[in-house]
Amino acid sequence: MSEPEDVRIGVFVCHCGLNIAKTVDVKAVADFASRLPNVVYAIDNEFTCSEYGQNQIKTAIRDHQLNRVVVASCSPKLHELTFRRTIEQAGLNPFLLEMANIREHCSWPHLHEPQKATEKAKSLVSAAVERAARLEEIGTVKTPVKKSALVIGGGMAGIQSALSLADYGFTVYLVEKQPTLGGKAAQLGRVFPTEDCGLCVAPQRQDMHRRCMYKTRILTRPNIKVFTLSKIKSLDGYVGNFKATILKEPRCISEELCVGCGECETVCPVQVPNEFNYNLDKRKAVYLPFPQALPHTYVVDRKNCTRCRKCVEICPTKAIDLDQAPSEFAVEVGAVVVATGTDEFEPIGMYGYGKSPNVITQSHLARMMDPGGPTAGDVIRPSDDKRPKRIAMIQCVGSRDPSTHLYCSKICCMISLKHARSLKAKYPDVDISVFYKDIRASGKNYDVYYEDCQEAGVKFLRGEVEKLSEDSGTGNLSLHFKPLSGSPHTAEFDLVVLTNALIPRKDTEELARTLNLSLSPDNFFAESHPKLAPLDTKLDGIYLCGGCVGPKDIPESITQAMAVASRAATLLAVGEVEIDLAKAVVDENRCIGCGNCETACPYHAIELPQTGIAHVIEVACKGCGVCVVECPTMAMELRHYKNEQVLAQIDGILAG
Amino acid sequence: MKKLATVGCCCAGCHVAILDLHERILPLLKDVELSHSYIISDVKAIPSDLDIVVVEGGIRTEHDAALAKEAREKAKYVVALGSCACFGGLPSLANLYDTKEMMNYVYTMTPGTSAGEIPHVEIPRVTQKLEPISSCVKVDYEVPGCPPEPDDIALIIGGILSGERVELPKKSVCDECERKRLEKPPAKVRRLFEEPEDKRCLLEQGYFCMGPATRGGCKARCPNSAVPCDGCRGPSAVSWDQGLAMLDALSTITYENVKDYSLATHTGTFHRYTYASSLLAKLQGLVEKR
Amino acid sequence: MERQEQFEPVIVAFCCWWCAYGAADLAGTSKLEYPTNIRIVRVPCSGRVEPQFILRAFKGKADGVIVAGCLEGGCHYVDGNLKAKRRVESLKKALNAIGLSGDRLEFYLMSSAMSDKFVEAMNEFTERIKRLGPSPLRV
Repeated sequence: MSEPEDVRIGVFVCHCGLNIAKTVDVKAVADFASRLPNVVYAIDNEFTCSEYGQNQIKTAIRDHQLNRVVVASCSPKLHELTFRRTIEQAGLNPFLLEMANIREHCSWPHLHEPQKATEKAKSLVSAAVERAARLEEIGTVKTPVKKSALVIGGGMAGIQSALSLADYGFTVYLVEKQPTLGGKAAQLGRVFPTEDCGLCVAPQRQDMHRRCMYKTRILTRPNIKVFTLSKIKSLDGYVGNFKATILKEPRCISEELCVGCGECETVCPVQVPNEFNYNLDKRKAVYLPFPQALPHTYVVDRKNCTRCRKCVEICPTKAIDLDQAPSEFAVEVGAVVVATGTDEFEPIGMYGYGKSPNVITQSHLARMMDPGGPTAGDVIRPSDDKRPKRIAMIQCVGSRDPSTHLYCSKICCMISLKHARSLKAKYPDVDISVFYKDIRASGKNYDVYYEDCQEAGVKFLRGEVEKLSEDSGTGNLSLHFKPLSGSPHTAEFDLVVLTNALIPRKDTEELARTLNLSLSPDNFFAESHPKLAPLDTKLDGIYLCGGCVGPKDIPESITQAMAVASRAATLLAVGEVEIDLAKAVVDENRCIGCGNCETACPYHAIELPQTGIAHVIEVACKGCGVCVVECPTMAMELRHYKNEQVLAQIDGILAG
Repeated sequence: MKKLATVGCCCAGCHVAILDLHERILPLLKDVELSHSYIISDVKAIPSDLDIVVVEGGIRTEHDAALAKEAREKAKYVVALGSCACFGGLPSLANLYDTKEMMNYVYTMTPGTSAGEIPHVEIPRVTQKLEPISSCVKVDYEVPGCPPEPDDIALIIGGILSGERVELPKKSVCDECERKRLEKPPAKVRRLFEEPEDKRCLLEQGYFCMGPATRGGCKARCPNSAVPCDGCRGPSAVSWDQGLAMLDALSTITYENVKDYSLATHTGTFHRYTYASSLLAKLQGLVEKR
Repeated sequence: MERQEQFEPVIVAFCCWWCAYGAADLAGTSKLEYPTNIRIVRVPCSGRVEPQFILRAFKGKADGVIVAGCLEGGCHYVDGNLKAKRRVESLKKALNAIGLSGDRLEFYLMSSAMSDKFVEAMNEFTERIKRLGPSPLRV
């Protein structure tokens, strides 16, 4: 692209009061500018950004038929949008503006060198003028947004965000990997601070009574479509127009026909450890994951099923089909919410876990304490099924630890306090010692637990548990403890509970690849900006909430789920996305289809269709320009930062 | 009857390319007389009233420069034949080294040379740098390649004779290569002796194939035969610097795995045929001129 | 005006809009001083900087060239800064080979809050160029 026939540049050099004028001789700069090629008008003014200053620009555009404007003033970060609007009001395309930063980059850092600063300002204006001459008009384009959302993950955060989005009136596809919704919350028993069932999910708008997940009627809301035993096979597209392929594993039992009678489970001959209860009891190969499972449908464990077909025969509604195949569903959505939660750190080898049977985790303890759990609420020692008299809880197992994870898992202190308080209430004579680094009980109504525990006689010992040894006869455990102050000592316990860390899900990397999302250094999903955009991702239209961003408690997960629904709804409600076209563009005559650009683009904004010519998806392009450099035939250019525009700037700086 | 002459300053491979036209040279010879030809015919002096002179080879000695100038004076059209004449070619890699040192090494220090001496009796003087023909005289047409395609030569000469405007293909070798891209490039650099997979893009497999940055028109014979393109046809017509274009394109593969970057090594790969006309060489020239 | 003993280099600094340019702005706002020899060219990402931009600057008799981008892992466009870093490393060696010192080109990483790092880099680089002397292209 060469200079247009009749480029007429106007240069406005700002005093910014004394901010620029005190150091830079603005009149000299304006005078210098007036003699630059293609400049037909150059003045200096007091405050270009003021109403008066902007009017000066508009008048000059009209009176001198300017078709390019250079403003030499403050940083574009402040007023680029302002002046773009100004010239647009005067009838020029907003991208025909160039700014020279002679304040933040000139007058201010060179307060004591006015002569050199003035020379530098001239150089910067010269560069801006050279570039301005080569600027082109750039338009905008609107693309419609599909009014539906995909929620990946059916735990607390996923369910809440799906409900909130459905309340807005959008269609929601809720995809869950397990055979049932509920996630980790289903295994927690009572939760802090409300001491109610973990599966309690936010009420409907009209009705402020608590409703158990089972009663939220999530499955019968017409605009929520739930896919269990499902995961995302692929996600293509861009903001407002995503195309997802959902892969559903076979349940082998029809969700429509199953009435939940349980006959199949009764006749099934196969027994396997029950992972829901941390292998504390057994389940059958055809089973209901837990009593409140949603959908309330039995599921066949295909790995352990022996295909004896007893269940098929006995099922009264003939709902069982052992040969069911996986199925795929294609959905189109405008926004995607990732709510895949966390996994637990398994502290194998730490403090005897995995070797000594009486070393368990807090989750194991939670299952025992759950009245609906495998021990009907009784806490017993794994080695001899006896009730423990002296319990130790060790905090920060796998957290705040250079050898495992440096971060704090946020909720572990509360888990121990909750369990300790409940244990003391149920077994007043039990002796509980909590070995900790810090007690973090910072949420609303959380500190009450700490006070109650102390009142109930729970011992809190601050320091380091250095060693643990087992007495193989009794199964008791000796902890060698080094307190923060005082001398080390040993104490014996009959049950040790490790408060283990929360970690990113095992399949996080795979999901990040599928969705093209970034991960933080600790492998949780990376948010766009921890302070200003905590639920956004680098990709417009894909949002995060809940544990998958970092360990958090249920109130925070619910808060984030409601917030993320707002983020997604903002996009979906507006119904269209407007973007400017200062994006990458392919010269089809030069493109050889090598695909380098497709590989280089961090946003998957370039596709290589059958035609063999690269195509830029403008609404997904962020304008970084990396593809331009990687193109071997110079077929790719970045509008507004074209090679010749930048080269002109370089020449302008070095001229004279 | 138009008059065509060919002159050469190099390996004569481009002249062999002319002969490779075989019987296809006959239709050309109906309209043009081969008045003088380096190697092919035995006429000693270059006649004066030529229509077309085809010049092979780059300017390495003062004799070459004189020859190019003579060709320009005596002909209406000058065609630079082959990558040496168009871009400097393989021999222009010598520009990376100091000329005196190079001459010394070549004639006295190579293994197997004993009692060598730099030739100096009735030998034209070597120029400081090897340059393409265009550094010396105005060139009307370029036929790149090492060797160039015989049919390209016939096309250009035929075009000049008929007065029609002819253009050589502008795209790149990739356009003519039958191999398919399957997925993203690997992170490993592979050498030729590690056998490449059939039918799959060589660059994607980790071989340094210059295809994307090299001008097409050669039917991609090399990559189609499992040999990575080495860029002998120079830059695709729109590229500004074949080597730097390829360097950029290989960001991921090159920089992660080629630990010891030495310009000589890299230039040998990326600027193998075009060093003399590359941006780097131009900058080098400015530096040395000081 | 008298010519000074010490020459005043011209240094072109390609600053990525999100981090380096922001750091430069913050340095200015904080009135931190650095040499006037630095001339900033704005690019959306340091990964946008083509080798030909750098060579063009040297050809135009720039005494030094800086490419400045975001911290590792902090690139606004994911990893453009890493690509830029690799290109600059390669180019430095290429410049050495053709007789222009590779030390005349440098890559700096910083976040938009690191105005002190920006100033430190500009000071250090200007000193370096002053020591190296004018570009060999200057007569």
